[in-house]
Amino acid sequence: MKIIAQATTEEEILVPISEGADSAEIRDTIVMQAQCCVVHLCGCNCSC
Amino acid sequence: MVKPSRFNFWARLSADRHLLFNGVTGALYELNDQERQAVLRLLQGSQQLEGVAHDDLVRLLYRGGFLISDQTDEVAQLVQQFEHEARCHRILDITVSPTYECNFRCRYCYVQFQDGRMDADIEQRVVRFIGRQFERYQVTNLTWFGGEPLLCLETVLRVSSELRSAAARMNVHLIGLIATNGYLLGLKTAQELCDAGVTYFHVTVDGSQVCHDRLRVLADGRPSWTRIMENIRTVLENVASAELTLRMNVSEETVASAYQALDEIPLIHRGRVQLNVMPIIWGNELPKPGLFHSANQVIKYALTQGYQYYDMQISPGKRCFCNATKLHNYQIGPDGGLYKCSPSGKPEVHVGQLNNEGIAEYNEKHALWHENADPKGQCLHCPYLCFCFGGCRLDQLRGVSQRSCRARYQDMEGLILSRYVALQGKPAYTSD
Repeated sequence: MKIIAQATTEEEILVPISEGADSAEIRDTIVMQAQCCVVHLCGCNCSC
Repeated sequence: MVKPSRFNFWARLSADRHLLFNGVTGALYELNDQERQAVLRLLQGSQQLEGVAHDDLVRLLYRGGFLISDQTDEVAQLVQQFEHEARCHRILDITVSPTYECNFRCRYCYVQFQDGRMDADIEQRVVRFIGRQFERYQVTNLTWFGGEPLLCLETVLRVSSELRSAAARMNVHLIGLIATNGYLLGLKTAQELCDAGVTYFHVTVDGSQVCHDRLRVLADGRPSWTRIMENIRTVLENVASAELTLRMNVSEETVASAYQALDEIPLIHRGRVQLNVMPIIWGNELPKPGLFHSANQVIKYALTQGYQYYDMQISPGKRCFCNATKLHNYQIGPDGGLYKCSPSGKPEVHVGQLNNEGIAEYNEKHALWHENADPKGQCLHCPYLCFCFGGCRLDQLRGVSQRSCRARYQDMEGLILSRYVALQGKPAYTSD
């Protein structure tokens, strides 16, 4: 069996942005997630 | 004790190679026939596995989330994650439409092209509104949308620059994007946009020149393909910070031509281009299942040709179907109206207005979007809940959410195979 991708942990997925949670490491993670989420609008009628 | 996850999906890689994907964790394992048989028996509760160490396999599958504790309620966890995502201050997504006017008349477009452009007063309201949110967020996605936003280039540049400065002062990471038809995206414009922090360009090219020019025409009917492709190549060649999403809307008649369009972008730039291929929905008519498969085949091919991976359909961590379900995310119209979605033909999405101070004043529809919005009913039994979280909120409000919710998952195997190619397959082109 070959592991192509290991499970993404909750810590990686849901970085809580609460008071004081502004380390560079967390920021990088969020930015990465934000960049994965960019450009979701399309201007056509495909419901995306 | 353990039990199988409800969100395990299989895909066939070849005659004797298989993929196992978990929609909650994103884990992806490659198995041969013997391993697949063992996993299937184990997931069905068997303790007798030939040639495979039972405990090792359980450990491996547990780690990937394919097996979970029998005390775990996956659906309750997903609902909880949805609710958290809707209200947390993780990423702020604001879309600004400085106009609904457009220089194109695409055959499938639903926008009503109202006249009117954002004036200086509304620009300042937008700056104040978004700037005020910076206190609560560390990352903001600012997307320019339309109509065609480049018809209001000066507005885009002024607002982006002001917000970029404010974000820098407050140590906020601002990501600027623009969804444009690309016709006005010349080199000077692209450079100005990047200087203002708008570095992600979303441009639609609907397949080959023949197909594109049939669908995406200028308001006076002239074709647009040649100039758009020229703009794209020029921007990629000359603006190092530019990233591109190549959007292709495909139908059964045009999907085959998508391959030709992919060849138009030089290999050396494809690492900065992600491909988003989506079937066109004409009115209430849903695409046939085969079209989703064909679209996924194009994406898989693109990955082997050096293009970036782009998947918003089975990405772990998405936590919602659409940003409209997030409490603080809006589209802002040219008149300072606050919307939950592109407003053309959708009166339900107008939820408020920015006042003179750039403060949101909500109407009675705002609450409808966020009250009792968590997945329920049939969705709680759906195998795709981990990806769609109840689907389009507008469809829910209209009572038509069952109409199309599963359409995009009809070719789950294709989606998994693309993910596999992106993670495992070495592209034909590499920078070294």
